[in-house]
Amino acid sequence: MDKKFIKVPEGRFEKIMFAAVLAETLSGNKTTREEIMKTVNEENLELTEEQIIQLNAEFPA
Amino acid sequence: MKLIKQKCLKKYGVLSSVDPDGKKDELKKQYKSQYDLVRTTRFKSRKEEEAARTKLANLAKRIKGKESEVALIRESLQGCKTAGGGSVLSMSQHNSTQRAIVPLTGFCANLYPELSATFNNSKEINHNKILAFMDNIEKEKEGLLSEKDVYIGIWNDPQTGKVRLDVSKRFSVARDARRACEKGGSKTYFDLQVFESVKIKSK
Repeated sequence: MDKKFIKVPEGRFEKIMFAAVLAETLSGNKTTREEIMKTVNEENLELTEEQIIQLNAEFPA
Repeated sequence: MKLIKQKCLKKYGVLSSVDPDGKKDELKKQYKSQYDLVRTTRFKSRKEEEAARTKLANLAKRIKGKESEVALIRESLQGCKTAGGGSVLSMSQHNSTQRAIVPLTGFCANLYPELSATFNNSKEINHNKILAFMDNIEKEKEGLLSEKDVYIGIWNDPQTGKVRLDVSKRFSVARDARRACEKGGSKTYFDLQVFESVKIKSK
């Protein structure tokens, strides 16, 4: 039986991105930037410029 | 040799495994022999089996030079997209939020079965559910996910199609993984060398 193990990153933004990549990989369903931004907004997270660039690069609209 | 290692470190974030002394070849021979022993032997006792598995893990660590590495999440989880499938790790892409640490050697035990999450079908999974799973662990055991050698375990059951997430700890010694299972109430630990679940024997 194949089992995988993966370390959860530190930081809330990193955790959200991690969850998005993990969900996409496991389900095959695309996670959209809008869905991630909805979570970010619900949690009142303020993203840095670098984080916004990462989000746009990894989850293009 | 030093230059090659520095270049690999800079380019891929890992050290080259090239070994001009040929010691790696000898280690690999020992590893193959021990691997075969673990896979084919019907051990007389739990102690004997745990010692053999631990020896194999030690050889794997010596060959790989580390117990974990940074890998692409998507590629390291390839096997989990298809029930019961395998996977290959790659270090060819660079995206910090798409990378995570994965264990390479040793044994993983589910520490808290009660914190596991099961999805009847992989299509049910979305980022909010995974966040909720992680947040619940944080709520119940604050700081656990940040501890060294603590990972999320992901298991795609080929018989049922269910996907199970749990919180697992990596151990270098099979006996310690088994003891953690006994303490937490798990029935198996996972051997990272032979990629199989090991049932907890009574003795």
